[in-house]
Amino acid sequence: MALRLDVALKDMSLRAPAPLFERQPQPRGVFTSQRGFMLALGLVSVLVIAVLPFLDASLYTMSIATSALIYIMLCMGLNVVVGYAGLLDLGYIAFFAVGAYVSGIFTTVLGWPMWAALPATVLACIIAGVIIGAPTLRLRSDYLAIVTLGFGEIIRITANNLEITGGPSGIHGIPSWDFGGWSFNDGFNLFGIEFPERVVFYYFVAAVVIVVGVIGAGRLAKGKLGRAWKAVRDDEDAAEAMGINTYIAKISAYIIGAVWAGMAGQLMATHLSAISPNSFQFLYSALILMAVVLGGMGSTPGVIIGALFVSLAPELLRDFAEWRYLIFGVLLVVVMLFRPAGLWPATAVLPWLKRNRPTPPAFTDSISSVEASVMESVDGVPHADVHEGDRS
Amino acid sequence: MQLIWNGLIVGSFYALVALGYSMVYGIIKLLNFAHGDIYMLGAFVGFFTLSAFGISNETSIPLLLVILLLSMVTTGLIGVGIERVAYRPLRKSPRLAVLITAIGVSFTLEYGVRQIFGPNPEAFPIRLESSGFDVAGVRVTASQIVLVVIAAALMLVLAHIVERTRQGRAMRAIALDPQGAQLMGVNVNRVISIVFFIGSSLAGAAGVMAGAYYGSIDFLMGFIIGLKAFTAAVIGGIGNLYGAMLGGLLLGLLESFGSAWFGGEWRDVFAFAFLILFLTFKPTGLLGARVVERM
Amino acid sequence: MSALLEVSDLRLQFGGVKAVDGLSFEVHAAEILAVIGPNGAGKTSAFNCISGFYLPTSGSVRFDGRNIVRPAPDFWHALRLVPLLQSFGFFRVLPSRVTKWGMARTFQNLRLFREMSVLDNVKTALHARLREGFWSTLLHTPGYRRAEEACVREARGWLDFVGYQGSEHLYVTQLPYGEQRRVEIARALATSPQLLLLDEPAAGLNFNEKQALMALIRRIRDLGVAVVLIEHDMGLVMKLAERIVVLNYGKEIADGTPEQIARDPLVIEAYLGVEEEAR
Repeated sequence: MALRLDVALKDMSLRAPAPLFERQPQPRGVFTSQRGFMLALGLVSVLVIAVLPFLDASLYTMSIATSALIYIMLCMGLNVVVGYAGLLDLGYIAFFAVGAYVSGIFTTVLGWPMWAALPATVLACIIAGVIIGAPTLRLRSDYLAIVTLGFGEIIRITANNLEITGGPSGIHGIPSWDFGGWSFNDGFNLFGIEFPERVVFYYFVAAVVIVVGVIGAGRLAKGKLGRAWKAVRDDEDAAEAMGINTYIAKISAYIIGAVWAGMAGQLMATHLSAISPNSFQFLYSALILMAVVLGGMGSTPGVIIGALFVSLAPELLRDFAEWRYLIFGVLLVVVMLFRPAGLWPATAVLPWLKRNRPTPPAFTDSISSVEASVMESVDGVPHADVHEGDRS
Repeated sequence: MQLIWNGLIVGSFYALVALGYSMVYGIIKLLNFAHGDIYMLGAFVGFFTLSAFGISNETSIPLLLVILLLSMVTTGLIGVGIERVAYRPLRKSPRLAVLITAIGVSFTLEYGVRQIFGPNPEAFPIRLESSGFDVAGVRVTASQIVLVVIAAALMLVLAHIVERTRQGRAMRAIALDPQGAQLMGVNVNRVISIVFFIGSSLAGAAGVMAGAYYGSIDFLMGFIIGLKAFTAAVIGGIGNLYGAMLGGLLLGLLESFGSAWFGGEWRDVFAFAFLILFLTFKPTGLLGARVVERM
Repeated sequence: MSALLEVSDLRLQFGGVKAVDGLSFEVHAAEILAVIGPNGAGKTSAFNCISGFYLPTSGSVRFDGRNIVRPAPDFWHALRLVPLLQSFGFFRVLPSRVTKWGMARTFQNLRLFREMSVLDNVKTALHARLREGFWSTLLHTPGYRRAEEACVREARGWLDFVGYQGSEHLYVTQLPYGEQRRVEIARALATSPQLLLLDEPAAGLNFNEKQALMALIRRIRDLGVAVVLIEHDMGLVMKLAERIVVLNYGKEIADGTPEQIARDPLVIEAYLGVEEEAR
């Protein structure tokens, strides 16, 4: 066992003594553990998404739902940048624009199929992320915010002025996805149930958003890279002292965010089949940021709720459409003042689990006795594998 | 020459707004995102007062000065109010939280004004469209001279306040060491309020002047100028008042030449590219002190 | 036997202030060295230079045969581009690199990752040693699972080693101060160091905790790790350290065993002042 695990570590001159104490196994039930509940919640959401077209497959509903899903993708990407890595990006919509324009240009001007444009989109977003990130990520967070804002404006104005991007009127007639002859436009027939184009596209977007956007980002956040991001967010100097190259950690967060936004942009370009510079104003960067902050920075369920709120609010509150930006602005201030961690904070514990929460160790008086017991078990035993049998 | 003159006019607007940015940043290290919108508010306060009296298409300079003072006081108070409500409770919070709050404030101001005055541009009631004359081949109008003189006067007053008065000394003390200043008996909250008042009233003055100069105002006019003013503050060295003035004028000139050479539609791109270059290679700006990063 | 860490003629200037002014000392493998000196003597600044956070004005630091200070060629100095290039990572060794070479440190005031659990804090320190790629994280390959398992095992091992008894799922801000100190030491150990720099590890601890800390530092030394600590508690230093370096005004004024240091007239003068200067 120990040998097999050693493969995972490189040049460790100093290895930890094997753990001395038995850990209690974590509960895994749906209502007895955070993890189980989240999994169940995720499954239920996937079911809801899957069932929706059977309830209402009208053009309007499908269009709104697709947009909402794309918003979730976008917000999950920004969450990596702002929530995990703690870098305020006020020009995030620029990457969305890069994705939309690159896929639009490749499919309309060059006539590539949509799937072939995907690598180009991803590559363009990586390059854009590096170009803007490399010089500025050394800067303090507030400078970064303004620089990204300026970058967002540069991209929009450039798109507005260039010939190839169609100027102020943008790009029209962006094709849907087709795979060697069969395209989403043809619809789909399964077991006698007809799936029209919009439903097929909706399912496609849902699959991408759930697999890449939500699960992918969540997994990255839990691994080595995610820990590095959070460490940089919490304390940059300490992270550097822990052997994390903070510059690389930040730029990787930036690139991941850019790629997520680019993919969302490509989906949006297909969804709307037309894009114009007006859809990439600062307003939208602020809206996405608002969704992430409102839901809870660094919290997957929070960000999804925030994204749904921001994308669906104008549809549900038609009468307030005029007022919504004002309301959003006030909400942003109020949330920051009174609930800075958002509606569903990343550190939230389910209310009924709070009882079982571990209590902090008491303010040490018995520590020296603990120390004695620890020393007894270490002294004299070669510090490699004390309880090897128990743990493997 | 014409380019230089035009650049100076625009630059003096930038400088006025940049001063507020720089003062606030210098004293509480907050990037007051809503500052550009204070500029917009200043223009709208002037618009509102004049419309309330039914004045339009006026060209008198004394009236402009009265409106200017009124707007300055109003926006100054609004600035103090914003600081009290939105920023003061968060003074000990992480920087990210305060920045996000500032964005929220900016949104609130922009769309609040939009709800009151509507989304369309309004014609500013005072127009300074007097006949121009040529000086050494440069077309100069009286209104331009008036604006430059007002801007210069405001900056001189500000320099006097910061350099010569007790409050100015307190400001510089807080900028260096807030806790130390507090221990020395400086009322930190009061001084920060004063800074917000001065900074906001300068932005408000710039707003009125821009309204009179360009003739039309709208609720989003503060966004771009806020960005530009920040650029100016960074070029000059953020936190440094003379730097902000210098940066504003420089940026005005750069833009004036940039748009002449590359075309007007690239003007903003030009300015922001400059911002990014500056932050990359000389983040302390032209006059900024070299900051030793302490852990 | 060549030294693990060789600091020679280290100088650091902030403007006109000489924070460190010609410091030289050596650390050998598996020894406990204490650096002491009055407040403002430049101890922490020296630490920051050694661990790569500050760029010394001159002097050299060699760790395990590698140079930590890399002077820039005169050419770049002449162009006045050195600070810019250094901010991009040229002509310097980043602290993260120093850590990878095997030097870990703690901070004077606790610098734990506040929004991470105790276990995650320690796991973070394994960053540089963990074989875990982008795609394996996305796809949760067996390699990823193995890496995470090894990582948790190491982290738990170190938490037990330092005697942390609370739940590993607590957020560090929920812990009492003494426990946070323990977690910080566990985190530093998890980077697999040959040399551990502790910046005032006993500050703010009560008597029992100090006793536990002394035992812990000895056990760390017994693992073969050299420990260098800055400390103000003379009792602790005299009992624990095998060798002591004394700084005053950025200069080294003494270097020797605790007994030698206790008798050194220069040290007594620095701490108590001579008659004439005493006010």
